[in-house]
Amino acid sequence: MEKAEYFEKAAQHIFDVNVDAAVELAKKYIDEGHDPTEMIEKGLSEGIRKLGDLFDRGEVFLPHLIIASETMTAAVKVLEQALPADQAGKKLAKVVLATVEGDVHDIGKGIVATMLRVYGFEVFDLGRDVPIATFVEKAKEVDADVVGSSALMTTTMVGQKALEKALTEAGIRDKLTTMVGGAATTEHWATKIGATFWAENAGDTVMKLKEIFS
Amino acid sequence: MARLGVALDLGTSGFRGQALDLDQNGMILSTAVTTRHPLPGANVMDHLHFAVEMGLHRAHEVVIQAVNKVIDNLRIENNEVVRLAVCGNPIQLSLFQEIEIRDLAYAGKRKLEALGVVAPKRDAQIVKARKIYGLKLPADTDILIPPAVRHEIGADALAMMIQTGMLEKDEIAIATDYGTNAEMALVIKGIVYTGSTAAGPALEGQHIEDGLLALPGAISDLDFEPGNGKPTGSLDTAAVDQPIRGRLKTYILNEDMTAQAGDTVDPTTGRLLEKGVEKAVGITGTGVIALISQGLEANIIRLPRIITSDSKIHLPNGITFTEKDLEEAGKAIGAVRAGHFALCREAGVDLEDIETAYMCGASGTYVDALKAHKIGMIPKGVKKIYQVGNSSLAMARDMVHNVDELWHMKRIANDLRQHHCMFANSKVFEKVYILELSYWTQGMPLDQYQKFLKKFGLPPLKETAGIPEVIKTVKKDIPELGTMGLAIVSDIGEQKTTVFENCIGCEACVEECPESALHMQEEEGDFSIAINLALCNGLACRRCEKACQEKVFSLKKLFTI
Repeated sequence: MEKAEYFEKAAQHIFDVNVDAAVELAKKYIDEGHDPTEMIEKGLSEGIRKLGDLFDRGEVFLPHLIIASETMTAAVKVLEQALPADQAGKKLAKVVLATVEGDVHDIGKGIVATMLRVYGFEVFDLGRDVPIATFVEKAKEVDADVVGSSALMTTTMVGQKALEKALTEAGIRDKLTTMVGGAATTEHWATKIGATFWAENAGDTVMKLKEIFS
Repeated sequence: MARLGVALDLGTSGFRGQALDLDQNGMILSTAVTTRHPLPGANVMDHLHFAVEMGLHRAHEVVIQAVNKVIDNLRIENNEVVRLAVCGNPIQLSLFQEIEIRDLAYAGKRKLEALGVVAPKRDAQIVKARKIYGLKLPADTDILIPPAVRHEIGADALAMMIQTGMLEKDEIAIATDYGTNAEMALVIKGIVYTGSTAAGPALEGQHIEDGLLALPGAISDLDFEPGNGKPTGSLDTAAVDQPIRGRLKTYILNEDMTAQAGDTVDPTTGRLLEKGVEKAVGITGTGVIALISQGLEANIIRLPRIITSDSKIHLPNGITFTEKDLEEAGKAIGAVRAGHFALCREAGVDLEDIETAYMCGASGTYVDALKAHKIGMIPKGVKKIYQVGNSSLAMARDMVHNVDELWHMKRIANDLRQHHCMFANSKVFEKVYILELSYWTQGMPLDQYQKFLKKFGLPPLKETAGIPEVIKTVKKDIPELGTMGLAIVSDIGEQKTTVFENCIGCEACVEECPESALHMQEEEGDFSIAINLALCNGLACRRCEKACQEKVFSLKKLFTI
């Protein structure tokens, strides 16, 4: 099969959220000795980009995007096995994301992670009830560009403030973009604790991050 | 000397009390209700936040002061009170009792272990009034405290199950308390499945631009009356997509909290068509539900859009309902629907298998049940809907009247074969909530909704026929007010005054406060600021602090004794 045909098929599988077919295709592609990076960029990403555009126009809906993003992750995993670690696909920025300690609400944060992946960010979603130290460790480990925290309860918002402080103490705050979100938070809160910005929802997060990294 | 009892419901939006004459078979003497909760903020998280930041004792003090005010307003001799029973959720009861609340303030296990928090056993008990610090009742008065099954199934939820009688009936039934925190219990073959979803304040009329709590002047219900037939000059085929023309009739709460006719307007322009008796100030949660239900039917709302020239629905007196409001309300309705769906999965039944629905709480009493049913806030297949009013106060009353009710409640709590579904951990809830979010805020069509349900391995929503029967067991959420009648306690809030050094008296904080909770006084060049705690939005707001140019204002200092 021509490479161009591979790319087209991969994009289509993402669009159709066909996990099995996408994974199968990725395996075959590697077996033929092609460049995995190219497949990610010209095939899979193209498919997800197309979906993203339709989503923006209200023609495709959130669940479709979420399943497509999962499909893409599965296919990328296969392709990355054939890549030296330092050559993993190029991303706009590395984002460490989690719900703060004491809080277990993470549906909204999950949507943010999905949307960021769709728009070309590399996301490390640490889950929920995550201690401050884990945010800091992960940010250091992956050399993150962005650290995002979510808080849905007014009692756990203070964790976002403590996170700012911990990142400063670890000496990495200056090179980071930090963002806060969640139902309990406000723009004022973000300013007050010294976060780079506040995002109201997933769409807002993507927009604001794309202004900084593109 | 007479022997009197006091029944007390400590709700999240306010307290309600009733005095009973125990010598006269528990006859109700008087009722007192507060217009809000005494602690800053509008929800349990705000109340907990206050207790965590300012100390449990301080929070207890504010609560007890308000309880004392409620008892004062019952207009009885305090020294004749031999018994008091409280009911409410575990957060309010723990604040009342002054016991550990941190297990309720945080949701993650890790954090609780790190803090070394041990959850107290919230069991049924009778303590003497002297054990409740600050309570102005004779030291020997018995205080009846009902049990919680676990912290998510409190005395309020037990009251809901007991007062509806749903535990004893052989049917699949669901009870829902429609509030900021929507509590729900599904009963099937003697097993109870419970859950609670933070639906958000939209169902109480908050977070809606022209929204209002259920207060005089609030639009509480609406009827759309189609008029003039089809849109003029359009063919039948085109008419399908056009909004139906017609009149929007409003119902507005008067001073007695009874709905009266308000103005009738053209919903696309707000033009007055017929004058009503009451004047509208805003729209409350039940009004929002009615508006969405009627708007969808009249095709004025086509999710996620409002099909008018300015994308707003016009109500009397310049009040409008925007697409942003629709989104907020949609998220809340979606959370309730996802909760019902997830509970059914836990129990292994379909939504459409539910035969009976009980609507509890004030909004559950006053809402038009059929309009709520139409938009799916009540499972579609139910045959009967009961609107049962405030079950917490009724439970407290039963306990005051007969102490055995407390032990009866304890037995039910102990024997309850229960299963609590933590929605934050439920994959089903998460998936269905995402579908609901797409439906309400993106306008995802129903066929796609069904398609994704299938993709997620979940059962489809089934078509159901027939209109359920609505049974209102009470007219008002408190059916009987007593021989001395009702007192409304509006000055519930503790007033605190503090002098801030270097304050220049610019009043920026006073002006910034969205709830008008602050006042400035000047005395010989010193400025002092007074706050009404009950009006304050809580520690999550702090707009006053931000407004202070001199950086001398501190909300925490203002809260501190």
